[in-house]
Amino acid sequence: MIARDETAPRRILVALDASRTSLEALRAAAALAARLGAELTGLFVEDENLLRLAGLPVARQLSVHGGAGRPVADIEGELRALAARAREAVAAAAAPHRISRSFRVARGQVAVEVVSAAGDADLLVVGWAGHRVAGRRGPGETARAAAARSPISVLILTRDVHVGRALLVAWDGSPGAARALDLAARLEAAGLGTVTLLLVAADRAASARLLQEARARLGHPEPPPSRHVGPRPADLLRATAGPGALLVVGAGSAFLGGPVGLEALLDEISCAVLLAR
Amino acid sequence: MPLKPLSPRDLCRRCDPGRFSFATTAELPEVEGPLGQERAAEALRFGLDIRREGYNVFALGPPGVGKQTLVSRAVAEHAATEKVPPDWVYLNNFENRARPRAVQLPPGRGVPFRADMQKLVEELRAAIPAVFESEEYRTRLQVLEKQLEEKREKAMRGVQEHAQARSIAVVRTPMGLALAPVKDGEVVDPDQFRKLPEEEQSRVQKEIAALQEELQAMIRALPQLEREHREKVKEMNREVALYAAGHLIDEVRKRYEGLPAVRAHLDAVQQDVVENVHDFIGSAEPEDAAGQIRKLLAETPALHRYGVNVIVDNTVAKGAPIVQEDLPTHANLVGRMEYHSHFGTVVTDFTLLRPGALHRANGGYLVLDVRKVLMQPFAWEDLKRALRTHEIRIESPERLLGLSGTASLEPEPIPLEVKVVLVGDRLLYHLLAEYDPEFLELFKIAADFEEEIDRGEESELAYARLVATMGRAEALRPFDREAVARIVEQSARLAGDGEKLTAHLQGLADLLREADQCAADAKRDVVTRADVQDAVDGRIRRSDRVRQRIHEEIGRGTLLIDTAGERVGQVNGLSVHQLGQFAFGRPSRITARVRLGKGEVVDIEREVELGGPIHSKGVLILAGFLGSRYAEDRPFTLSASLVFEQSYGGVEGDSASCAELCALLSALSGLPIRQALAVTGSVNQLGQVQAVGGVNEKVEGFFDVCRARGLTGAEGVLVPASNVKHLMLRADVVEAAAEGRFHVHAIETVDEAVELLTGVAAGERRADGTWPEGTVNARAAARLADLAEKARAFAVPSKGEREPVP
Repeated sequence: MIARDETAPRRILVALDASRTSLEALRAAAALAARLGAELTGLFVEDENLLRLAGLPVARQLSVHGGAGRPVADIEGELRALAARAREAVAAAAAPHRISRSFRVARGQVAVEVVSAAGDADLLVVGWAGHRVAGRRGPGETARAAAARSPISVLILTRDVHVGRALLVAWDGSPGAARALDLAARLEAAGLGTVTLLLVAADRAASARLLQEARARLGHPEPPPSRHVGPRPADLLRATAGPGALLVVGAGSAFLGGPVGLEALLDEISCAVLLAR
Repeated sequence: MPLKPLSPRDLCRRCDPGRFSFATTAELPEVEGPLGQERAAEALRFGLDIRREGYNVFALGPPGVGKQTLVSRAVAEHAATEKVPPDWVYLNNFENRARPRAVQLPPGRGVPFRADMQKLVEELRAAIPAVFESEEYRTRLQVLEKQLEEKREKAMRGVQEHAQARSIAVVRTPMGLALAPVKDGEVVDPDQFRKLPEEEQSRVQKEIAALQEELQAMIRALPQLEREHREKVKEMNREVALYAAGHLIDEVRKRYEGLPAVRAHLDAVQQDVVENVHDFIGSAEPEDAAGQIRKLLAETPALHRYGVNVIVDNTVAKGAPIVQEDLPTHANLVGRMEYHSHFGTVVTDFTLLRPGALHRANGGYLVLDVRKVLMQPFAWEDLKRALRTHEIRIESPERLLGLSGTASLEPEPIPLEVKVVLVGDRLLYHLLAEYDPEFLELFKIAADFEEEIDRGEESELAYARLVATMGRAEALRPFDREAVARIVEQSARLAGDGEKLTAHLQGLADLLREADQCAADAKRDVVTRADVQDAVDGRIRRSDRVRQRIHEEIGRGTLLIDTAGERVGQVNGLSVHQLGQFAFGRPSRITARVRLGKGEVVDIEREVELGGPIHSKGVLILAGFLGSRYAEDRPFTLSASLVFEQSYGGVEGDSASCAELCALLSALSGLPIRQALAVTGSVNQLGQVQAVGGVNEKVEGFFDVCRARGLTGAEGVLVPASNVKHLMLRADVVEAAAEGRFHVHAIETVDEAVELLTGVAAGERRADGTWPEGTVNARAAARLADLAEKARAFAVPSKGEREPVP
């Protein structure tokens, strides 16, 4: 039995669109919930945009495998089928861990509904990109919207992430970064990986100071493992390159320089991100 | 003047032990090669020396004359001086898997090559996964994937930007992509859209149609992008694989300098490794179920294709190979394809090719028993095909039968240079020569083995040395000189000729072993004459059940044979029965009856189809003799019948024709024949008596019957004079003859025979054609004249009958 940390996330919400990425995110979320003793909720949003398509006589649908375009038909039935698949997936993912789980279907704009539902949870888990239209690098629209607007922490999962390895905390000593460090520490306590600090500082001396601050904040006798990275987001990206990494970033971290910085970071990043709030 | 019986010396040509200077065979040196086979040995030598097409050898002769021994020795002598032939291996053909490649290697290099390739595969299995798991490879792969992603995104971004500029969005639906008008980032509500002016709606519709085409074009281009990406990944994989495998293969390559075939194979291996690098990565650790299933469904483990199947290994060979194949089946001769069961079907590959005797003998000698070859389906034809085409082809039996089989191989043939020595009996040689047109072209040398060798002082001594050699080879006791003399006599008896010795070494070896056993039973260290005699007697005793029964029935009067008194038209003939290796003689009663007739001698045996053609010929000769001697100038109005009494199993041969003629003359002349005598010999139209076979057995057969009834001194046998040299009679017969209790007479003419049998002179024809009064011939002629007269009387028409036409 895992000792329960009252400050750790207790309700985990997973946004599902039944895509392969979202189903893999669901499995990772189920494992996370089991470790944290949290409750798992699956959310499927019937995309209002798609429902509108069916009513538009001018809208045309194409298969990704080519072929002629055709009018959009029975979107509602297709969405229902996807929702049923998502529901089954939640049950299947929760069963081996014996965790409490629920499933909800909402209708509306996907990002809006996901952000709105997040108000009832402690941690929002989204897949890197679901049924997306190619055209933009980085995570998909839902993940970006969640990152930007979610009131709670957001975990954006890539397919190759392995929760339980290194937790790379972007640490610049700011209050936003402190929330990231605290959340990472809780995950570490739950056995979900080892904290490694990415010291976002202009020079080595500043890095050393940041390291001491982090040690003090964590209350550890020894400073945690750390790496000096430069002050810009691009420096951070280099440090997280490589398969399977998980970057923990505070939403209000000073080095991001505001929402635009976060957006720019997401544009470039290729590893899983836990955005702490 | 009556003929004198033969002297005991004539009845058995003894071997004088005094001629031998040794005490026992232990003192004698060994003899090389079977005796008296100079002709065969020379043919064999010549056949093995000559290196021309079709000069294969057929060693022919009866079983047991030492064919195998002489062939083995001659072949071994030749092979020892010749060079060791190359090794052969079968390799995978990377261009056509169904046609494995045959590659020649210097002797002793095949097995190391196999080991080198095994080691290479093991090293590749370690080296290739290592480079493909390296950080560098992964990074390069990610870069390529990112490039693909960027290209895709760029293409899509172009369409999206065009769409956005027209307030249209590309939306992902569960089933694909959709194009729809948007406002503020959301798809326009259908109700609101319908409220738009018609021109606006129409504009949107047109925009969407145009964008749809653009989107379709973009989608069509995506597979090309992916294909390019796959090509790049493949190229990179090739490069990486070559980096990992190249130097390992180079190391092997260095060891095979000067062997272009091997180097070409290694080039093909390198190419294949680079092309199929996933086999190595997969073989280290199959990553997914699909990969595992693919692997299971593959006909054979993927990396087997780099193996080496050593078909001929001459690592330890010294000189040219000699192969004796005892079971020359199709597969054992030309090799076979094995199959293994795989998911309910049978499959094969080059590693399952197995060599045959021709592969092993290639560059040397193959010795085969022709009877065994002929008994195996396809074997004879396969052997001839290989010799004719100078190559060995491994083929599946179903292909030979023209049946469609499972997916099979057609391995490259291996060039063949072999000298085949067939060993077999004469009948098979002559049958093949007669009926197989290819036979004499492919087996030009016949090494014909003798069955007998001339008997003389030299050959008797050589025979003694042969006894010594064979005795030593089998660790038998030494034979003393008396024993050797008895063996020589027995050998002459087996040859059926006092002037010959048998070349049947198998029979001689049996006699030596059995004599040795008799000596062992008698607790003697040296084999003596008595032991040899015991062995001879023992062998007869073990085999003579039938003879004993026949003689018993003669003794009991069931089979009617008279050995005393006189009878008209009845004579004792002699016949030989062969049961396995044992032959024995017995008397048979032959009777003749004459009457008025049309000048024919009826052979009752022939009438009922119990007589063979040679027997019938003998009887017809009698008719010719009688007609020409007694009825030259008058009608031959005799009708005679001849029969072997109590014969139920058929008669063949003309050895009784003399006896039959004597019976006829007795019947004609009315003179009785002395039943104490028996006759053997064939007769010609001039009345000369000719040699017959089995004369020893015949004499002994009559002797045994007479002895059982008690010899009175009147008993004897008449044999052709030309058979005297064949006489090698048993010691007891010779002894009885020496004591005057039994006689053997040599006759040259039927007149001599009839005189002995009737005790009446045969008579010589006078100048006027008449015969002296009272002689056998005069009586016979008179009887025939009487019959002719009666016939004439029957032919004169009686009164009232039709006058003959003038």
